[in-house]
Amino acid sequence: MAIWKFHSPFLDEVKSKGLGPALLFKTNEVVERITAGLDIEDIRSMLRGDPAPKPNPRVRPHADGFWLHMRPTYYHNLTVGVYPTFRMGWLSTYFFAFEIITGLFLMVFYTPSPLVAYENMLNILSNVPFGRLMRDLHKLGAEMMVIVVCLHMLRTFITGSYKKPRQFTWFTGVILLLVTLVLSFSGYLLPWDQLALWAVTIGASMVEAIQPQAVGDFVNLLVRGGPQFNEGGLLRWYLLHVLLLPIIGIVFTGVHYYKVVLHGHGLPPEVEPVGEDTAKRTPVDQRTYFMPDILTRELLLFCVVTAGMVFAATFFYHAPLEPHADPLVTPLHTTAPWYFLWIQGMLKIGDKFFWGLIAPGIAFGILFVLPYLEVGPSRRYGDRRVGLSLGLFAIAVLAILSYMGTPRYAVLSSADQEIVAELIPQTHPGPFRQSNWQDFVVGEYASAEAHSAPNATLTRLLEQMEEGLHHAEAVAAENERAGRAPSSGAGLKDGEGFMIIEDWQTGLKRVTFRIIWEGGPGADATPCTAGNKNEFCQTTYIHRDSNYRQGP
Amino acid sequence: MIWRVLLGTFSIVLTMVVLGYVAVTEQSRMSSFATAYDARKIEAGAALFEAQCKNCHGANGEGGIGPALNALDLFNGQRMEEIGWNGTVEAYVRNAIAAGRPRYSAAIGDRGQRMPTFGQAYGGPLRDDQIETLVAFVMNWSKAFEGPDGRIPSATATPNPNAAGNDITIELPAGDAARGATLVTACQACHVAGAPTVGPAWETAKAVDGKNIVQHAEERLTDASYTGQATTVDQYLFESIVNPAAFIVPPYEGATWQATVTTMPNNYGATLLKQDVADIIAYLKTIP
Amino acid sequence: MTTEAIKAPVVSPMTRREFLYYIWFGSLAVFGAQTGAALLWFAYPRFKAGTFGGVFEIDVSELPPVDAAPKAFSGGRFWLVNIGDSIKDDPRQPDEWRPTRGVKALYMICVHLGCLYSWVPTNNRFECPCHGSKYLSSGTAVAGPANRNLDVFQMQAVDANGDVIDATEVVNGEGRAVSIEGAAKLLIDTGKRIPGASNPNPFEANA
Repeated sequence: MAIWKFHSPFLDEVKSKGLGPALLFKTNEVVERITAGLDIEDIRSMLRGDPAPKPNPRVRPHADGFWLHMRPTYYHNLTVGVYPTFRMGWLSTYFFAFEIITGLFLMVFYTPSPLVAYENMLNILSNVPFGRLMRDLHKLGAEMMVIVVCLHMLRTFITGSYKKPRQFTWFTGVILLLVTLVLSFSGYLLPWDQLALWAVTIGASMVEAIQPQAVGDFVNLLVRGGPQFNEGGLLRWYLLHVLLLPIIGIVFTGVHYYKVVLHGHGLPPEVEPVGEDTAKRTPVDQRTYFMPDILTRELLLFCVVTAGMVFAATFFYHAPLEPHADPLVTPLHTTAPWYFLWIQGMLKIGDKFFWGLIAPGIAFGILFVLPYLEVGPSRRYGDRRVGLSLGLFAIAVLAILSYMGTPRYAVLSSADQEIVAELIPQTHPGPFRQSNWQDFVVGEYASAEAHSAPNATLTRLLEQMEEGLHHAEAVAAENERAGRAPSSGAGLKDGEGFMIIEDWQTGLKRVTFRIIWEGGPGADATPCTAGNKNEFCQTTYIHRDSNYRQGP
Repeated sequence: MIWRVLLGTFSIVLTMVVLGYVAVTEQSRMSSFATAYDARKIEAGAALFEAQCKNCHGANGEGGIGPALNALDLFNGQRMEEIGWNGTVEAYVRNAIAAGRPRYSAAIGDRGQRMPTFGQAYGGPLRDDQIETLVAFVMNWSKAFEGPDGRIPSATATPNPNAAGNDITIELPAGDAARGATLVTACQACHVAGAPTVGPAWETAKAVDGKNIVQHAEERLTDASYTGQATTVDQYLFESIVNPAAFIVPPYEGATWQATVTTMPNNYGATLLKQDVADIIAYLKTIP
Repeated sequence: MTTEAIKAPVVSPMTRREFLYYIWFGSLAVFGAQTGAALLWFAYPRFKAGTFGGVFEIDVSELPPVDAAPKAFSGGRFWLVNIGDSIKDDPRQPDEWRPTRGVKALYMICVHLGCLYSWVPTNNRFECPCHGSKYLSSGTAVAGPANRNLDVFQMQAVDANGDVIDATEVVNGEGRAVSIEGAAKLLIDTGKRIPGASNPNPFEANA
């Protein structure tokens, strides 16, 4: 009966050849199917470095396979080295994939609600094996992605690879730049600590500036989920971060890369005749085939960069975790993430509608339409001195604006607060909290007598205080010369600093930083009481085990 | 080309070694991270305490308008027992901070003020995570009371001398039935609203035999099945409040294996003052 | 299946370069395995003490009295039953799984199809509302579609110094009661469940 007959071609092979050869034959067949065209001997000849046979089987995975279908089968020899691409495009894609993978794993332990997001972060860092490494990799990868994408754009600009016929490739690239920046920014909010909440509040506040006001308010509520960031805002930005932007990113990366392959990697400008694009017509003797040469290089880059990332995230780079987000308290010296400092700098210049919306809009607008405006036929550096100089100038302006975005510029409060803020900053641990707890001997110490403090730690901290007071004294003298009140702005006349350390609870000490200046309370006044004039006090508590040096 | 293969292999091996290092140190890193952040919770709680709590409880938890928090009788559970709270001390502290206190602590008596609510869920200003930091800070005071074995010595209850106690033969002060009426609201859930299903009824209308409390007391005192120690109606009523298990009124005795367990709480001797019991007894005798 | 069209494989000698490639791929494979293991460790849920899945610490003062009705601990999803002579000598108890004196932590989920059974004082046993499985307070199934006795959680009785006096062992195919003489605390590990003994034909006398 037919149903009892078991027919296997494999067993026929075994019968005719014997088990060994039959297995080898079968394996060979499977390998050829998996690689879409390369059997064992083809692979081996590739790995040995043999020249490709004719017809070349190594192009079959490109033609017949899915994964290599869009990748070019060969590259021009001159595009294969570190110059001219510096591999920045490849690295951009690598980091995008890296972020997706590390992000997916972090998603297992994260819920986008202000009630639990911060506790989820604590859980990831204290109760999930490899949790801190995963988070640090994700954050480091994000920073690297922004850097690499910007460098890629810079390289493309410098080599003039945005010119005809590659204008639309550049256009999609600027979209990808925006996607990268907003991805990084939206991810910033998710830990829901003070840094997250306020950095993103600053950035998103520009939306409020949209005129007419009604539109601005509408968009503001749309973006934030409420007048201030709350559970609605967090959820929206989370969905933006894990769904919408990655989808847009993947789609546009596809379009971008397709266009790159369609036109071929641009050759170095100096080897092409002016105005011509010969990238697609690669002579046979100038070809480097993808299999195995480019594949090996890409695999190598993957291994080296991954090793570098894991090494850096384990030993050097640790993403910070500040205290729980507090919508009622903005820390002194809060800043935007570094890649948005330039916008924060612009916002300090003037009207937030122009400087926060119009100016960045114009900047990105120029980026978008650059290849359609700058239509000079030559890609050679010598022929593009004006353009390259303008590019250099733009970078310099960005750098200056970024400096202006830091707290050092125009956001400093009075000297007394600044001196104390140097010791106990509100945005990161700072020198005081990172010192050895055992060195905080109970007592009252004057900064003028730093050298007689019981140990080196206290001396160092008191000397820092004293240095700040000296500087403030110098500014006060200048103020006087200029006819202003001496103890105003960054100046303090006759400033004195004190550090008072008390035992408070088991393992907990209370430390008060006190600065008085000209006209302040005398020696018999109770320190730090309401009503004391020309006195600034700030108290902090420090526990033996809080270990601010360990990383986050 | 070979150098690429070698460099690639080396990078992978390096990555594996680093991952191995992380795996090996991960357990201790995680626990030291947890310790560090528990410590930082205490720091945050200290700052909040200074801002919100020190005016009533004292900067060092020594008390004032509010009870002392830096006190052994908080951490050994004595205060919790006095009000009949049966959770952990930490839960007790969390509850007091978040929900406030409608009734004063027995340890401090009535100072005219009650602790306000602080938790946002109860209309107060603080978020849950801020409440947690305050709990951590207050609980940190317990460390000063720990013995060498790391435990808090248990309440060697120096009982409140004015508590009613469990001895029903003592002499109670004169009772004020009007005040007694204000003290029994908690009892009415079982003895009035829930009677006769949950507890014996106080009102004759609901009593199974149509008699009032005083009549019941007189009857049961002389009954052969009475297992308590009372000899007078007042003592019977006293006993039924502070030692409810002494005699369980039929048909409430339940199944035989539940003989030593009653539904009525048995700690009123500790939580009620003598005057309270006297007033309640006076009130009970007036119920028709 | 045209086997002739496919080339027969040729076996040629390996060069150094090829060999090094294989080493590289091998290292990638090992790295992949290491990463896979790390990711599994990463994703495996961990339970904090006091949450279901973790260890619960119960003071002996919280136990129900000996032979009294079992006491529910919903946070840990277990009943604690304090078995004394009355429960041990219950005439409804089949001899095969007669309990010893001590405490058992019975998992609150019925072994039939996963509902939560209730304690019925009138009948002095557990009864499941879904399909009518009935269990004695010792955990033995006496009626209904349940085909094994109630599951228990691994429990240790520790004294005031923290030394383990007694722990659950498997006896008669299920976890036995833990003696609490001299114990100060019980540690109940809700991450370790011991299934009840197979009991396909519940004993239906006096049920």
